[in-house]
Amino acid sequence: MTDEQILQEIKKGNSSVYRELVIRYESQIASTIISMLGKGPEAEDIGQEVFIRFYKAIPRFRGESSVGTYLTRIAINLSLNEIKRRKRKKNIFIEKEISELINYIDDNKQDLPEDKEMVNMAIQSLNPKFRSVLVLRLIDGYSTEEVAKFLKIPIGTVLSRLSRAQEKLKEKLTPLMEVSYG
Amino acid sequence: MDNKIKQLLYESFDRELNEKEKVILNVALTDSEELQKEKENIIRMREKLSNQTEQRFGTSFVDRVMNKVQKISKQKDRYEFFENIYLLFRPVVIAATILIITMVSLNFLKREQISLEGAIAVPEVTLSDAYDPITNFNLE
Repeated sequence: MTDEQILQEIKKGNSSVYRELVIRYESQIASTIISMLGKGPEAEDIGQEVFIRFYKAIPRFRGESSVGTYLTRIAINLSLNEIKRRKRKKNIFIEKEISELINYIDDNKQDLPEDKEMVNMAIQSLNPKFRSVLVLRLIDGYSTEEVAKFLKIPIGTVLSRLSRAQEKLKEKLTPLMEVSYG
Repeated sequence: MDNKIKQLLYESFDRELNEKEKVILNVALTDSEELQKEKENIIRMREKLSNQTEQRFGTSFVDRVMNKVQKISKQKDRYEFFENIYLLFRPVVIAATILIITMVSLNFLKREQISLEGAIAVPEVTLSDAYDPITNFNLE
């Protein structure tokens, strides 16, 4: 069944076919949200909210953008809202220092077997404005034009943030990799 | 390393450089080993990032979403029932409203004055009518 056929079925009242769409896009949305917020129950809650919001929006969905793009847009907006909420609660520190991350890895070395986890941590240590462009462009694979539309910023800003984000990420990843692999 | 060249190197991965920029970057890459190393590092990092895509939520994620979806669908069915009733009676309500407004307007026009009695067409009773013995006799 194509996305379009699933949406038609749901519009007719057959909500059970939505399962197929959730299975199809879970990985994509999980990558976006986990890269933005880190792995944990909050990320999963946001993931659920993304699919619920989309489900509620199906009657108004005209197919101007693909289902994946629409879901990613919701995911990135909800993730940014969550970051703002955390910031208000002061649960997050922006621009985590490399030394803090190295200490964390030293303390939890046996629990960090994967590269992915390391990269995730480094991404989350970035300022949200750099993080969002990096996730959308380099993890989700959207074009710079699409990223600009998602975040409602000029393409030039996307490019400069992308350069800054990569530079910072590289700075953070190099010592992390050295520490984790000895 | 020149920051402008470094910026150009990063941007070369995300946009098409113009001919002049391409020449500047290529010359800089040929001249600088440091820049070549930087390029390799960027490529490696971007590969690592593109490997981040295969992530998943918990095992019962899909079931949890579907439970919520089922709840919403049930609520929606109930809402649709009331909405259908509303849609069914809406033409009747509109017709009745138009009829009432028309009648009230006609009554006002006929009475040539704006009053509650005029609106609902209560017969106008003058003082002489009220004290007319024939009317009173009939009423009794």
